[in-house]
Amino acid sequence: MSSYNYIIKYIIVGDSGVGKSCLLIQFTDKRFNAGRELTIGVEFGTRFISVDDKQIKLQIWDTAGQESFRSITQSYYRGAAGALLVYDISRRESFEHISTWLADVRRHANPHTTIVLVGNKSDLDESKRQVTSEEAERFAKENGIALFLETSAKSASNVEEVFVKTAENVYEKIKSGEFTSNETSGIRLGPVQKSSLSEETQGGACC
Amino acid sequence: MSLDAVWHEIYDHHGGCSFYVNQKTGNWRKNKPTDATIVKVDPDSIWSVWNDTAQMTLYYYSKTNKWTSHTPPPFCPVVSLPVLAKKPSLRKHISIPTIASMPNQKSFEQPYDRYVGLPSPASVDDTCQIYQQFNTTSYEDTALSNMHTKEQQTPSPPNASTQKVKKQGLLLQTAKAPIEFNCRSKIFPQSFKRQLTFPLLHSSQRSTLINGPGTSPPKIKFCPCASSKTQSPKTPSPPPSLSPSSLSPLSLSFTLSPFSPLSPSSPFSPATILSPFLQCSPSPPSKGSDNNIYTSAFEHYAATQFNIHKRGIFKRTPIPLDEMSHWTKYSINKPLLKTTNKNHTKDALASFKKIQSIMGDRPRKYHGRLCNCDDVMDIQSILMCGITKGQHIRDEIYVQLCKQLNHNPSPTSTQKGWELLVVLCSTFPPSKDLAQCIIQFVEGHSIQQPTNNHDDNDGGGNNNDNSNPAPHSSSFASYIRLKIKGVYELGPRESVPSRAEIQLARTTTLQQQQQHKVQQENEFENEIGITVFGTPLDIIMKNQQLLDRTTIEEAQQLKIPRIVPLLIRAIGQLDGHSTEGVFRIPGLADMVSLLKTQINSDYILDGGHEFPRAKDLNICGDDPNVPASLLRLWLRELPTPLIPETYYEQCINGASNLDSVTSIVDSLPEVNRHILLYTIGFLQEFLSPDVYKLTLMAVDSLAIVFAPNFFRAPLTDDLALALQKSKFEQLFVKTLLLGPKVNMEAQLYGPL
Repeated sequence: MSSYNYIIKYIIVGDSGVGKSCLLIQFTDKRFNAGRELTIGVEFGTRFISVDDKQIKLQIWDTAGQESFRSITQSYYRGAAGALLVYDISRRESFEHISTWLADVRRHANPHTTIVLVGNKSDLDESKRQVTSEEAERFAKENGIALFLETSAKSASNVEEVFVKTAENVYEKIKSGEFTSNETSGIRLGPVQKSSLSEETQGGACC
Repeated sequence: MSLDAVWHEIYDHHGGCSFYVNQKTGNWRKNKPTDATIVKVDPDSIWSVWNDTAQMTLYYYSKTNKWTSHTPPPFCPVVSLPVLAKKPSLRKHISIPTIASMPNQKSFEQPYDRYVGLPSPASVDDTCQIYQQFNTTSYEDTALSNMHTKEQQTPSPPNASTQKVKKQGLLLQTAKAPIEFNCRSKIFPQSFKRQLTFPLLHSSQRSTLINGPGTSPPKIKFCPCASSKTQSPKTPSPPPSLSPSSLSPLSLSFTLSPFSPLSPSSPFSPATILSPFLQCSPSPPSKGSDNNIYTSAFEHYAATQFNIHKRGIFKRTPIPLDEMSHWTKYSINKPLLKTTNKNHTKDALASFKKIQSIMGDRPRKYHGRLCNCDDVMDIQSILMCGITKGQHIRDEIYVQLCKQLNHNPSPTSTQKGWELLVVLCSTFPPSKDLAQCIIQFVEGHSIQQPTNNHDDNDGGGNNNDNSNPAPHSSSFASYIRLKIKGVYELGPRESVPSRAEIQLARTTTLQQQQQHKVQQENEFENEIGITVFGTPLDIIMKNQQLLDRTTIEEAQQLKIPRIVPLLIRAIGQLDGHSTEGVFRIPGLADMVSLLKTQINSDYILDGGHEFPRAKDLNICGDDPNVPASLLRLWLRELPTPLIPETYYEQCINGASNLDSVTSIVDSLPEVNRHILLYTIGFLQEFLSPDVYKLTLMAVDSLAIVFAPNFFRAPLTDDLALALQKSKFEQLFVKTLLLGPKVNMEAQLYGPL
């Protein structure tokens, strides 16, 4: 598809092994691959969705969770309109590290970035759960995180919702003028929008 | 030649065009003046003059050498571009000297992180003024009774500017270049001609002024030509010199100030930036009068930097300064430091209340329901505020704490305050001039800590029995100095320290206050205690061998730092070989930092002979990923990568060829080679199919995890290239892993 209104950039961050790449693959390819390949640095995928009758191209950057890659991956945070903070509900540590990831995102990304907390692996047996959804929801609320969802990349539960709801939130911000289209905001106009909107967005300075 | 007629032609690198500045009037134009002498200015050898508004002084800055000076440079032309900088429309024609705006409060409001914090062009408005217009107050007016005024004249911009320069180093190309000008002419502004006759102040004298502001009865003397200066108030005065006899021991020890023109080679190299911390003598104050200096350092900081607070309902009277800088049980109604940002007010007032709560001076409100707040949460929220809200609020927190430590009547409260100070100093730095003030403050106050044997704990800093200095006082002060130095090097932390870290820092405070005997005999370097993190391998090894020589037979002496086998054995003992995702999944950050601190303190105390200890394993909470994470952290924190940068290209080029990989490894420095091979030998154990079944870590995964810890790719903006290269780093590690099995014992103890 070549006609779309916006390109929105997402980043997915979180500890190694929480399922960031699996979420991305589930969303873009609708498959689950339990392979154990590690992500090197940054990989990315794209998919088109439609929000409010607008075609939106999501450009999703999947970062490596290894601390040793952090210096590389942080440079990709810049210009992300959406940020998915992913933890593994069966590994408490990954949840406790979310505050570090959140600080990273707040530090390196755009201040208007829509941040979403994602508890992955919700398909696992309840006995393996180490983070309750109430606790995560409270954390999200206390830290000004717009959305919280529990997902399963394996069963595809809520995966679509996470990406779409994030896009809706970003789109709301575009409509309200909080975001303007430029490189640093992580939103670019697609060929359709460019023709109609280019005058409006001229000179608009983001943040 | 009339000065009016002299115009400087300055080439603006950003704009790519020249413009012309009248040296005398400050007029500016784009077109070449026809009826005047034009002096071409080229980008070397010229000094610019800047007004540090915070301190009410002028200083001079050489872009080429990155020197600042409070005296006009004697043999160099000086240029000022005030009008130019004041007109917003003209700013685009100059690049702004980053150095100049640092003392300005505005720039403090920006967080000085590694990538932000460049002064906004707006700040130039205030910082840059024409020197001819600068009206100095005569230094002779500075009577002792008028200490505050004098303080304002005390120069300190280099403090700030050094930070800036350090940042410039970090920022590399991103930093805006200072104004560049250059003058081939021999013409100096008239006022400077006269000053050429002044002898340059000796650096120690100048740094005295910087570091020991308001020192004891300072006999302020002028340079030989001082009289001429007072007659012409429009001439910028060089800073007054103190007569050597009045120098305090502390200030004398700052002789190698980074601003010294006597050390021209690299006055702002990262090493010397921190020299005030390093060279400040750890000797405690020995004279009663000296103690006044230390406490007053803070009070004088207060005099210049504090807001004027008022009280009363109808007739609002200003609160006297000494009250402002002393402990109080009441709230404050304004931030202590002057600020223009309204948002700071709220944060500052909240943090002050929290500081009072933490120190036990303010009861916690429970609001009739269960309050799960405790000290640590308050501390964390203060730290969070400081981490996220920028330098100004950090300084505010520091001065609030100093205020509450100053003349604090309660030993318990004081102790908690020191603990908080240690935590602060491990989290974010104060600004440079405040840092020196804090160090002096600690030196002056450490005597009254509850751990000492003196009974006069309940007094202020002035009440101490200084004839018998407490032996640990300097130790604690140097500990604080070390902490501040460390936090300067690393920059503010990115995340709030965990509960465990805070608790540890607080315990350390007490230990540091009590530990004094052995350390004082050692040199400063040893006093730090060799930590194993962030220390060069050769220093770790030197210390380890010194310790081992007396206690262990030669055959049993390790060829690699003890921490490596310690952590690797811990991974093994905690069933790393059967843990899914071992090495890949990070250990809990709290536990990792706890283990790090534990190992560090063991190294300091006894060289960490036994390994791994039961308590170390205990800290790991049965998770092999904790020692595994720490091992990787240790590798990443080495000052130089395990595979040094000089080998990098070689490694990338020959990554897939076992022969070339082997020959590169053989050519590595001995210790590096042993560590690398020992680690590889251990990782090879994970390649067996039986282990893989459980860990699911294939050789590629192990290589991906470890390559960035062995290598540190040269910094580049080309991320695609960096990723490309990282694939080869991984290939190198993979080749090594799949190569012949390494004999771990041989790497540990050397070939038999």
